[in-house]
Amino acid sequence: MSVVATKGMAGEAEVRRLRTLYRLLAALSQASALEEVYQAAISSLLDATSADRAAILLFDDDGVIRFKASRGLSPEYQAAVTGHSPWPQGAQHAVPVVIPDVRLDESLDVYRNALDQEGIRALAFVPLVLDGLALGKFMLYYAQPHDCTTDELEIAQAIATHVALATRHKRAEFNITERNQLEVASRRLAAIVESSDDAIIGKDLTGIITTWNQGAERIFGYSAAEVLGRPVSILAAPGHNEMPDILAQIKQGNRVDHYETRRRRKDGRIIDVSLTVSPVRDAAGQIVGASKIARDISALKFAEQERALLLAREQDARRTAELFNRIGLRLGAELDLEKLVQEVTDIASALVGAEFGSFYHNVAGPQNVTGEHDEAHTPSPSLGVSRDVFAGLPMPRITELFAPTFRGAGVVRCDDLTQDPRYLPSSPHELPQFPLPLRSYLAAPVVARSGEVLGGLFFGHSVPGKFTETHETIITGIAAQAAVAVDNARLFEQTQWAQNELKRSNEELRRANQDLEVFAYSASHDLHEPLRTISISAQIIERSLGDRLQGEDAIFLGNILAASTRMNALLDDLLSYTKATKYEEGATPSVDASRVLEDVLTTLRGPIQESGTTVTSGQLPFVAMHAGRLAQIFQNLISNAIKYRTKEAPRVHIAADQRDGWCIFSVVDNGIGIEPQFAEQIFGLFKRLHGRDEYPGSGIGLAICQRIVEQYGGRIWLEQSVPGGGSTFSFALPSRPE
Amino acid sequence: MVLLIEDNPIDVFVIKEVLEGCGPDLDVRLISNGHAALLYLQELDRDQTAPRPALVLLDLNLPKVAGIEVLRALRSSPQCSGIPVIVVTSSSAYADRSAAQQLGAAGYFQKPTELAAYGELAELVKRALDT
Repeated sequence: MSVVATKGMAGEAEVRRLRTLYRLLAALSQASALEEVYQAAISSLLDATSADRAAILLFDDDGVIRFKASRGLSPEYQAAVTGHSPWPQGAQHAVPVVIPDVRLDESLDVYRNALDQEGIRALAFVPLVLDGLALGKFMLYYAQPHDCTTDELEIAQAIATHVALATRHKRAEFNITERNQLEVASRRLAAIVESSDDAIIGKDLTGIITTWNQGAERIFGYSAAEVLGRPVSILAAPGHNEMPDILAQIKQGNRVDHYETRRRRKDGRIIDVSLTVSPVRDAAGQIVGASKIARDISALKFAEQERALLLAREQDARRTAELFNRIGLRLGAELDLEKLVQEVTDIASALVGAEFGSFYHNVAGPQNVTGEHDEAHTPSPSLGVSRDVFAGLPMPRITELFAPTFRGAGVVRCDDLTQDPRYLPSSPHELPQFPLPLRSYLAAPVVARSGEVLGGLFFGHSVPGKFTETHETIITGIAAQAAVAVDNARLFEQTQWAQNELKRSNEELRRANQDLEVFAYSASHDLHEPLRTISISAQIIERSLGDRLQGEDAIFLGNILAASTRMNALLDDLLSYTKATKYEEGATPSVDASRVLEDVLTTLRGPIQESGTTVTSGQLPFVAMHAGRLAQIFQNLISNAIKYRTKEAPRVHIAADQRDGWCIFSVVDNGIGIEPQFAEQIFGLFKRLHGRDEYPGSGIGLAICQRIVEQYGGRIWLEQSVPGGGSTFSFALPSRPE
Repeated sequence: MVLLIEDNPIDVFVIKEVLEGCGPDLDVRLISNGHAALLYLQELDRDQTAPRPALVLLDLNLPKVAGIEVLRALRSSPQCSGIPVIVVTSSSAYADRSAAQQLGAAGYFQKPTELAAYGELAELVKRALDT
């Protein structure tokens, strides 16, 4: 540090300049960057001189002088005057140049406009000199014409010198920092390379390994010491030696990017890798080697495979689900049991990839399991060839094989029947158990909702291990659906059968009734003829013998006549019984019982009047019965009441009551009554409790009533009776809603 | 002459009695089965000189050919269609009565079980012979 000696100036200005310098020096010593140096300088310049504005310019590497710092100058001006310097770079003995009035200096004509715009009238150029060579310049700008004093110039030069020194110092510092930074950077780079998970391998143009990071150690298994200096071909995997080609590319300056291939580790394991190889150039730009980044993508490859597998499995599952849906629809629509079973077996076989598939009905019971000769397992036809596979197996074996399934014990899977101890021959003389090529085996029971084992689905394949757990699941699902479908089909079959049976028995019934009618009619008719002959003949004898007929002869003849008459009556009654109970075709009408009663009373008007009978009735409902039949019942019961009367005038009351879905009629009379022990008998055909002399009639009235009532699904009975105290007859008919 | 087509001997006896009561000189000709009756009709149709009956009493229940067929033949016979026919039968079937009526029988008499009731037949015969 040198202090400039002053030449007897006024004390004040002197002090001020000194102070400026001190401040500058202090600032320079504290400056940590060139920027601060420049700013400090400019502040001092403005302080020490009367310049309005100031700037520092330095020559850069191409010899152009440029603004490094300025104060109060517009960018436009700076741009305009950049490059202008009174001295060239490195000029020796550069001295300040003053332009007192820019307008008067021709050398600045070029910049006249810029100067005017900027409002500059006077300039001073002060060189920054270091080691005698010009580094740059200070600029002092004056808004008015101004001639710099010597003092001004001196102080400006002093500042310039300090700044030059400070600049050199700072630059040196900067270089060191730069170098430090470079070192730091390169160390950081090395750390990155080292810590990378990828293998970063450097090799020269002959393929010799020159660098080997930790990642390479990990991925390839070799330590750096083991590989440095060895050719990179030691990593090659058989069938994957592209290294010469890669090197050729590198030599041409091309990069090889994300090339997937395989390499061999130290332990011999082959791994999948993705390579990126770039050429390495020296400072001159010559290719001196290659940098290879190898990423172990084995895991990635594995994941891709896994993904592909999962995708395939998902598609499989989706396809299976679709098939299931379709099965469900088909099974739901199919009611023919045999077809159903066929469909199920075919679809299931396709789904599990079986060569053979059969459905066996479980016809007999659990005793099949004991191994006794079993004919009850009836196979259903399934896949063409396979039909006989299971049927071709010897009987006891097949029972054992199928037994668990017929017990309903869940899915059975065997990867190889010939190896499974369950199915190995029990004695050495037995022939091989499965002469047919049956190795893989899969079976599932088809169990109805009731728990009954309907049958089993059996699948086989000549290749062992064909069936997987997934197939088990599939089969279980199908078996479940099949169970429901089979249940339904059976139910339907049974319903059909029941319906057919019903139709058939109705047919038979009708035919039987018709036959009965025809029989009864012709029997009655054919029986009348000889009877009439007997009767007429007896009458003729009686007539011709007249009074001559005495005593017993007369009685016997009388017997013949009486018996014939009675038989006639019986035949007539029989015929009317048949007519009365004839099977009525068609739907049963709903009739008003009170109307029917009215008609009956009209029919019986004669007997009613003669006997002085009174018939009363309560509210009578509609009933499901043909009117004529109901009339017959009323007629018979009322006639009986009139016939079997006491000395009193007969009284009959008819009432009806609805109870528990039945319509119950009661016919109450005040007749002679019936003893309780005869309550059933009276309904018998031709059964009478009284002699012919006491009361007329053949005794079929009640029989007819019973037959009619039972035909309509009802019942008739003697509700109560007291000998001498009247009877109550009741008959019940199923109610029909109106 | 009254033609009686009847197979039951007792009925023959009784009806003959009835006919005797209708007219002393009433000649009764008996044919006892349907086939013979048809042959007789054919004979009558062929031989116009043969005497024809003034009245036919016809039983429906005949062997070989049913009475209703004979009735039909009678009614369609050119020679005999004018002869009154009284159907005498044991059948009470409405169908028989109606068929006889439709075929133009002059009367229908159901054979009774009481001897005395044959008197009604006498009335029918007298009426038919008078017309």
